[in-house]
Amino acid sequence: MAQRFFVFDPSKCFGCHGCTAACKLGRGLGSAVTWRKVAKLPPHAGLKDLMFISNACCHCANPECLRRCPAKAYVKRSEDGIVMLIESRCMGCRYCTFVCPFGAPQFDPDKGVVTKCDFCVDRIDEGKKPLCIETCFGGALDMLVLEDDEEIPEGYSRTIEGFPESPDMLPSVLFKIS
Amino acid sequence: MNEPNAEPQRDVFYTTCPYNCWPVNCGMALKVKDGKVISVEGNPHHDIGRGRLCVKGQSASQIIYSDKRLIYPKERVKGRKKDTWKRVSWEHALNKISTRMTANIRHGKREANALFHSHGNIVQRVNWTILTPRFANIFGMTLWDGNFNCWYDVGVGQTLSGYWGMMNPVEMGEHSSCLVNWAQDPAASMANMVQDIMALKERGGKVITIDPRVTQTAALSDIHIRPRPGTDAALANAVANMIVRANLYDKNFVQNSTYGFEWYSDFLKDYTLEYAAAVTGVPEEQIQELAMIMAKEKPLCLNLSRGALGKHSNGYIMVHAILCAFALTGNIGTIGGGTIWGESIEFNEELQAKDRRPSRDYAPNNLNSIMKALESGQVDMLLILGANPLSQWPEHDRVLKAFKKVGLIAAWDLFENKTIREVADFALPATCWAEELGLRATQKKVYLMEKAVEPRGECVECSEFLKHLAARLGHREDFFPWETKEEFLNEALKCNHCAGMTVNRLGRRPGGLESVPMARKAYSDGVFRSPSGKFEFYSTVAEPLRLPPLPRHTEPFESPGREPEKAQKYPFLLISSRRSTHFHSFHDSHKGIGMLHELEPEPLLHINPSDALAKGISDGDYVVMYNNRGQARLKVELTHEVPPGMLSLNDCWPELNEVTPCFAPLQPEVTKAFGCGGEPSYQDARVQVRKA
Repeated sequence: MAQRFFVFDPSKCFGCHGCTAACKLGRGLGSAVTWRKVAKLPPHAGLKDLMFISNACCHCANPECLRRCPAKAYVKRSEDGIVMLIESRCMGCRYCTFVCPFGAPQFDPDKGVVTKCDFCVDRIDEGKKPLCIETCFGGALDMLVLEDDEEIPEGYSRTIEGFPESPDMLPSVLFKIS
Repeated sequence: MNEPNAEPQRDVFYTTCPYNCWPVNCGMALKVKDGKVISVEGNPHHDIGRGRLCVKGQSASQIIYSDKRLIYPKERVKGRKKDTWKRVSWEHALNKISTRMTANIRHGKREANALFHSHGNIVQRVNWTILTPRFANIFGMTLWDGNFNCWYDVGVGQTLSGYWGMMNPVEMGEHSSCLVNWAQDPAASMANMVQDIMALKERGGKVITIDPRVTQTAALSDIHIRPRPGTDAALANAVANMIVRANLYDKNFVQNSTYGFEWYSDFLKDYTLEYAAAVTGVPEEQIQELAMIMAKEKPLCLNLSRGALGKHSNGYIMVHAILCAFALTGNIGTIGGGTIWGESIEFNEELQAKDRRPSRDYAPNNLNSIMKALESGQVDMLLILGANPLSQWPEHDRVLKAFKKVGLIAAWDLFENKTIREVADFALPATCWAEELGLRATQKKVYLMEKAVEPRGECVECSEFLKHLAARLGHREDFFPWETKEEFLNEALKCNHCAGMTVNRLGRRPGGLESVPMARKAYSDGVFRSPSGKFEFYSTVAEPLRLPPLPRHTEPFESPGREPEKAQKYPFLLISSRRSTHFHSFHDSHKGIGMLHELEPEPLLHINPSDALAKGISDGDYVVMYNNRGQARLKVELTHEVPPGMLSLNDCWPELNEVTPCFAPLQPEVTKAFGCGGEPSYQDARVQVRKA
């Protein structure tokens, strides 16, 4: 099985929130829901006192949301591991929102169900990139697909200081280290 | 059934972003369905935006359809305890305004009718460079505009040197080897430039940011230099001194294209590394490093695109000093070398009808003279077009008192804002950019801004509003002799830069039309806008106005060196700042735009953790920030982004101007002589904080 990763380069993000808006407006999200969020990382030193992280659903290899959902509303598609939430199956119990360390699933009070980033799967299937990647002025966001037996390429890390810990879930995000 | 020659239904309209990022905006493609804009996307054919939009541009559809938008004219009803608003007809509002104006004219007090317009919120460049001045000239009104508080003192620094930059940021990305952002934060205020910064970095170029705060641009930079605010002239002079003493200046350029080098070189001797380090707080090694980079990196680009430096009492001196240091390096007029500033395309300014202006003693567009005119009760009727002075002018209490002396205030805008709430008698609904036809230029190209949808409610364009008013004042034909907006725009295109362009030719060209001449290698002819025709290290226009001909550093007004007692009482220096999520106080401090309001829901005062610790303040606490001018209650964020002893607050929030000084270091004589100067010294303010 292959897995699609978001790739994030913190040295190219300047915290403009363009990805947040592209996602929220482009996907027509409810006002209480924000799939992709930009936050400040804890201060490091000097220039690194201002570093940002842009994060959405991490499409984990072992998604806790999927494992815990009583309604079996979550599926992980086999060809690239995108974790999708079938809204018609969701009963709005919000259990997933408590177990996800990344705050990816969010309850939409207007719809009465939880919604979540789906990697712009329709765009992916059309051969396009997700809206957040497409809009980024700094080129900080990208994606790649790794086969099961493939090593993480050199120059990338699975975590960064300030990224939530999630030992067993294996979030599918790679950070470019410079 | 369609009419035989009817245009097929279109669903994509090309326009330019309505935010007024300086110097250039991004192109937009609006998708329209059933008469409504359903999406706002970047126009890939636009030379600056290149298909992308920042968070503000992407959120622009919410400008059109916000439920907070003004869509009917309304009039204040004064109550004993509280005022209320009632909906009125345009007819009623226009009659009230024109009657008041006519009375002032009859009483021989034309100048008591005043017009203040801002430069961005008023949507179209032709509105504020042609129509508002034309209206004020024909009717002999006092005319003020938002240029004074935006960039006016930077302009004085440029006038003193004769050098106005005009470099295109795209050229920086393609050719420069190094970019110096001097007190500029394009990542926050002009995100499209990040594409060029990244292009430069990918070619191995260096990015330097000079700013006391860790800005969004600093976060993308290789070197960050953090001078104490107001001391940049000392920094620039020390850099220049090193370049001259090390014999690294461009002798050819200095000899052929500059004036006053001997005096300048002699003057620089006082600016030693030790002195500059002590004054600016920048380590000696870093000053040295900056000097070597500026001397050796070629082509070098200096970004001075926005007015930040001019918002300090030392602003014009700092700008002159920085330009002088830059001129030594010989980069001016080379490909990839120069200063980013300004739009190089102006529309037909003859339409301003300057010759029609009745001779009067009008108060110039300078904070000091504006305040004098308002406070003395000289202004009886004030039209405010797309502006929010009660939020954006310094020292709110004083500004509020001054505006209360005006007999009638009518504000034309997209949203009810602080100004309308506090002082306007009439709130008049304005069209937004998607609802009108217009023009916009970058440094190379001219674009048509297509009208995509019909105006909401009773919203009216600036040209229509002024046309109706002109009709009631008996000069409709004088003011707007054109049949249609298109005819007027064709007239506006009759200028040197837009030869042969018409609305018709620009239409259907999402890639715009190239202006003549193109702004490439600006100033490569070695001719500068000064009396000597050269770059003036020693300014020949300074002395008659009692300005320093050489950029001598002096201590800021509110510094411990000049006002030790005040500095003790108010120990923090307040810096106004910018983030991507707002544009000044547009759209009622972006409260009308849901997406932006979510991202920046309330003002956040930045404080260094060491200062917070000393005061027992924790992250997220509320504090009162105060000084002798006023106070504001604010939430704090503890962050190393501001150095110890300083605070910062985004300039979109009216709270900032509760405490800033209502004072401009340059007097009206300068404004009259140069056509600029008179910017408030927002950045020279000291405050204290206590837990709320």
